[in-house]
Amino acid sequence: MILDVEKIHKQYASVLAVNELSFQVQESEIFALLGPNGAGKTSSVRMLIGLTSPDRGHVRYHSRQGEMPKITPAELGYLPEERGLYQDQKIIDVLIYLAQLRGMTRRDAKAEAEKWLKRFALEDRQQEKVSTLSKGNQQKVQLIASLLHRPRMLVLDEPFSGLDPINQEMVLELMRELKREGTTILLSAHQMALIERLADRILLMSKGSRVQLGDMKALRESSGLSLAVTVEYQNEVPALDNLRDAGVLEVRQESDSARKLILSHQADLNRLLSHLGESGPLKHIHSEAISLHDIYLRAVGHQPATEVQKEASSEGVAV
Amino acid sequence: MKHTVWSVARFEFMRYFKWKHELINIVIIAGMFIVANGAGALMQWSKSKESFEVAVISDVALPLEYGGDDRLRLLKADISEKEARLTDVDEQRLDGLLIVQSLDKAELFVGKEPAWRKELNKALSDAKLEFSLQQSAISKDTFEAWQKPIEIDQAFTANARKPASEVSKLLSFGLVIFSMMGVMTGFALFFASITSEKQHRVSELVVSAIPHQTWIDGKLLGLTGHGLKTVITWGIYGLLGLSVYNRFSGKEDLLLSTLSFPVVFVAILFALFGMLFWNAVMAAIASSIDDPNTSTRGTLMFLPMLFFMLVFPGMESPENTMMQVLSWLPFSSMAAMPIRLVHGLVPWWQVLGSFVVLLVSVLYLRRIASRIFQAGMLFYGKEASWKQIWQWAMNRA
Repeated sequence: MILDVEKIHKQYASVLAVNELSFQVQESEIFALLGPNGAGKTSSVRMLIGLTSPDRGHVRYHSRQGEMPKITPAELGYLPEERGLYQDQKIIDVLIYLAQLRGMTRRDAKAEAEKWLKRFALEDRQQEKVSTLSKGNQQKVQLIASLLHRPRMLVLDEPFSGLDPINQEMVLELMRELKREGTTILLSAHQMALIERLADRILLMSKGSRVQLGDMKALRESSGLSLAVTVEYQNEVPALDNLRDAGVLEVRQESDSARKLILSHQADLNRLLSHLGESGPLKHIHSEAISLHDIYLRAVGHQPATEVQKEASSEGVAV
Repeated sequence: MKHTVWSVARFEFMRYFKWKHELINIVIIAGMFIVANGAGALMQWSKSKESFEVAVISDVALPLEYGGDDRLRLLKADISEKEARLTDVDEQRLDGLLIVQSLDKAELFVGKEPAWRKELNKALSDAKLEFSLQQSAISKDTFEAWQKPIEIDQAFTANARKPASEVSKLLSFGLVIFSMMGVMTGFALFFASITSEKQHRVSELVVSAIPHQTWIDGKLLGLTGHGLKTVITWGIYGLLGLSVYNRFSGKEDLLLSTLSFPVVFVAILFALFGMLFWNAVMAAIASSIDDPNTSTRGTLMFLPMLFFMLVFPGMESPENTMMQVLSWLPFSSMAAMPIRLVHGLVPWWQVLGSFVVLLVSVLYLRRIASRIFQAGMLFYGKEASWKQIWQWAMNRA
């Protein structure tokens, strides 16, 4: 174990940001914090890296020097949610400076920075000012700044935001590589498909509290959900008000002619198919294992689902 | 840790130090100096090449010098030639026609504003004086002897308070101006540096790597160093410019010969710590600002001016009570103490005492500034109230 978080609590004026949150992060693990806006992810991250202190509770790092309340700068790499770089400085100078702050020598920092810039196809632009880079490229420079000193633990707050799909894949592969090399990664993100592919364990948060914690298998089991079945009708979607007895927990609108059915572990597939066959002419039917997205919507707040539910209810759809 | 402070200091210094700008500055200063001196010399040369001709019709037998090859050449004319000479003036063959009606009255006709009016006035005054002396049978030497003032030799007693010499006043003025320039430069750099870091959201990245005190110490060293560099650079430009000017103009270099290196050293020391003091104040203020475009706290940049304004009148009388008080206060000692030093009447214990007060104030203020900085740099979205700043400073938040 590298990090032990025990019942941390943070309140800003009347806003409860984090409420009695506890979890542990293992060495060389990719651990994801997931939750809607305002769930307390960034507040938690700030407490974990010592930017703010919890009102109650403890954060303990198990470093090579023993148990400590704060990780050393050299061991930590951090990509904040609020992105920022020195816009009027040269890219290489900014990277060297930030690495020096984390204990690297100027010479080592320069060599590492050049290596990483090459990997991100930015080596030709190292003498340019940061302000000349696009938002996506600035994001890459920030990512480089967070890892070029080879931290033991990398904390990334929304690492995929601002990146196109190709670069998202590149960052995904990079994180896997860092994990293989022994780096522990704690990240918070909204891109659930990426998190599902990447994270070893996921902590679902809502209103500052822990909702669920575990790997995908554990999350699926604890969610009580098994499958997501998408049905598309040839014509108008009929009233699907008799599916609950077949184990359908939720009906979500996918398009005007399609619905997504979220099934429980106790779902009776034969009965479901029978109901669907009787409901109207089907065009297409597709089933898949329940995704993190579905678990998230089901477990955390139901905000988008609520909208669907309202819509579905207005159309007379059973949920 | 020390290593990190110097890394921050170096980065902050280099953020605003550009070799290209420094070289451009030198070229501009040299250019201005050359143009200013060259234009003066060119003007003199051009003036020496000019010549003007003025016809004089006089009813009085004034002993004017006619002809000659001076810049202004007077030509004697008769009253009968008046119309012809007026035509000459009108058609610019002559520069003027002077008709002297009496010792007290004359008429001048010109085709344009005369650039030679001073020379004409002098020629007429000299001629009038000579004419009057001839009429009174008084020699010129006698007249000059009458006009000579009584010479007074002034001597100071042993414990007398000597007034400031003109050179000392000039030096004092220079010290105040340069100190003010240093503080204002440091203030401006701190304001720009911190507000841009807040706006560009760099703060979180940096404070996750180093303690706030390290960051602010590095900033204080780097940006104050930059301010000091500005003061020293402009001081050197000023002294070199003055030296070159004196050499070309043949004037005695009193300012440079009066400069004492121990005084300059102590003045630089006070300037350095005075700037550190004010920069720590600015760091605290700037970190509480959310948006520099809408904040009214930018006007606090002029706060140090208030204390410099108090010091300015003291240059006339550097040993008055107010200057003595100002030279002990950390807000103003950077300017007041060097001024007193220039006049050479400050006991050593006062210099040392004032410096210790300044040093302790800087050390204390840097801690206070760090507390405000710590909370202020991560305080986004709105401007911190004075009450909040006070609570941060007292570590109650």
